Amino acid sequence: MTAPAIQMKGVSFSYDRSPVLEGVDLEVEEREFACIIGPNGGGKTTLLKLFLGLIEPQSGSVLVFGGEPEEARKRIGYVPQYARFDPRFPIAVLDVVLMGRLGKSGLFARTTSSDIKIAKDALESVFLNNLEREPFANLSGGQKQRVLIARALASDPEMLLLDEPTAGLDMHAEGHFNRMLNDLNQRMAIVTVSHDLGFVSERTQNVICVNRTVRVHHAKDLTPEMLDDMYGGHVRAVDHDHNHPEDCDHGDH
Amino acid sequence: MGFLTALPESIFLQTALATALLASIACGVVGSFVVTRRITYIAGSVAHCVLGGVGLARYLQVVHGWSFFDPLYGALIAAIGSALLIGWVTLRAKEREDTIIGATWAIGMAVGVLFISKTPGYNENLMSYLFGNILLVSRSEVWLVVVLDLFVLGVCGLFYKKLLAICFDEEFARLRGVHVEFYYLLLLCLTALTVVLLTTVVGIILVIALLTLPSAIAGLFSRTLLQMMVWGSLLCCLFTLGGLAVSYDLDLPPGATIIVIAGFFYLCAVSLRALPFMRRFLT
Repeated sequence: MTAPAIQMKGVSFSYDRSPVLEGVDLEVEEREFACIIGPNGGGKTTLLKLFLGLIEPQSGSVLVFGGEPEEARKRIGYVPQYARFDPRFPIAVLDVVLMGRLGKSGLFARTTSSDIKIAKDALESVFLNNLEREPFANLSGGQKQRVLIARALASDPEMLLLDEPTAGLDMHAEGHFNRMLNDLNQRMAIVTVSHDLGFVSERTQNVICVNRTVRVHHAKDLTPEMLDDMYGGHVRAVDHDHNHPEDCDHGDH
Repeated sequence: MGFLTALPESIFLQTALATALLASIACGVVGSFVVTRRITYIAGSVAHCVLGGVGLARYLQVVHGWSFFDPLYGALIAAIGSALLIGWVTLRAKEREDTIIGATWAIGMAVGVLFISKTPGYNENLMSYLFGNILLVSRSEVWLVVVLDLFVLGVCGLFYKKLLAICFDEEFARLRGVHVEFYYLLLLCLTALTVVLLTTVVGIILVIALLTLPSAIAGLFSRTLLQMMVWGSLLCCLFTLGGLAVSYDLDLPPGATIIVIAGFFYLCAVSLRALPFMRRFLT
């Protein structure tokens, strides 16, 4: 049996003295489709940085594919939020995707013909092969998002990690996007991080709920009513109740 | 006598022109990185520290007889030193970046003023360092400009992909195993070298405009960073050449003339971009 994609045991993390995450246990299997949700400030970004080995926990252990996150992070295809980018940066779509090959090439990062083929294939799997020469700045939000996924795919990852993947997408684009991720899930684990429950795919096995502590729900146990309920619960937690992390886990009430 | 008729006979003008064109190439390339990575103010701070280096070099030359210590060497040491200092502080010390940039900016200049005040018979040349006097570049300095130019372009060419990656998405580059901090410091050093090259053309005070304006104009219509660099270099050549010619013909200071021309074209380009029918041509 191979190691799980992500395994966290008893992880706590704090910036200065205020704890952000406490006693987190979670596991993401290989080929799993997991959604991490929680209110803003609940520790989602911190969780994500721990997966990628950008920060280290004060206590507990984080294993990615059975090894140290810093070693294993090359096997993760990280997809940041497209809104973070300079909207006027002059770069062609294909050149963005080629950045996914950076870790695979040498000191001077020379682009080989196989790199270009891999990049073009990656663009094809997000249905953007006709836009490779287009400036990244000219694309719509949804297209930029897909280019960033193609960039992650170009690095030949065993897991995709997507930060707020549906922020700024309309309902139609979201459905399309969802089907695309479902296809990719045949090949690799997918973990999405989102501040709301708007995005839970039908393939989602686990919903990981983060608000200082972590609760994992099996998606198949969740009824639509429970999802509505939990979504309402987490909105309430954002509005009024920062001190009760249990509010995120509405199932206990 | 006009600029073009004087050019074949005047060794001063030929030297000046060669220096300006050489510096322009590095200017377009590094300027594009500076504009997209948004480190214009670091470049400004480094430029003002150059006065400290130049002051020190002149002080050692005149007072202590270190005749080999050309002001250009002092400028290089001060520029690289201040670039690494700012880079190291922003990466490591978690100090506010703009505070460090502002402080380095003024301290570098203050050091320069102190050395110059203690150097006898030197005050009249202060203006030429502050505002540039390309006609004062000597033949031996042109060779140093050539070497610096080739070095900057060579390093940019070799590490283009990595530098592009840290300008576009530093976090992703780090996750792909790129030594982000090394390449950031490398970029600051390249910026420092280019600043020194350009101070020979327009002087310390005016250098950030020449470093950024040609690339900023090129950025309005370029589809890739490489295009932005090529057009940035061409525009910089055009501005320095035009500035030299106009300043020669009208007996104006060349540095200031170059900057006013570059600024005029930048304002025109930005205004044009605001017109609805221009949107199709500009990204």
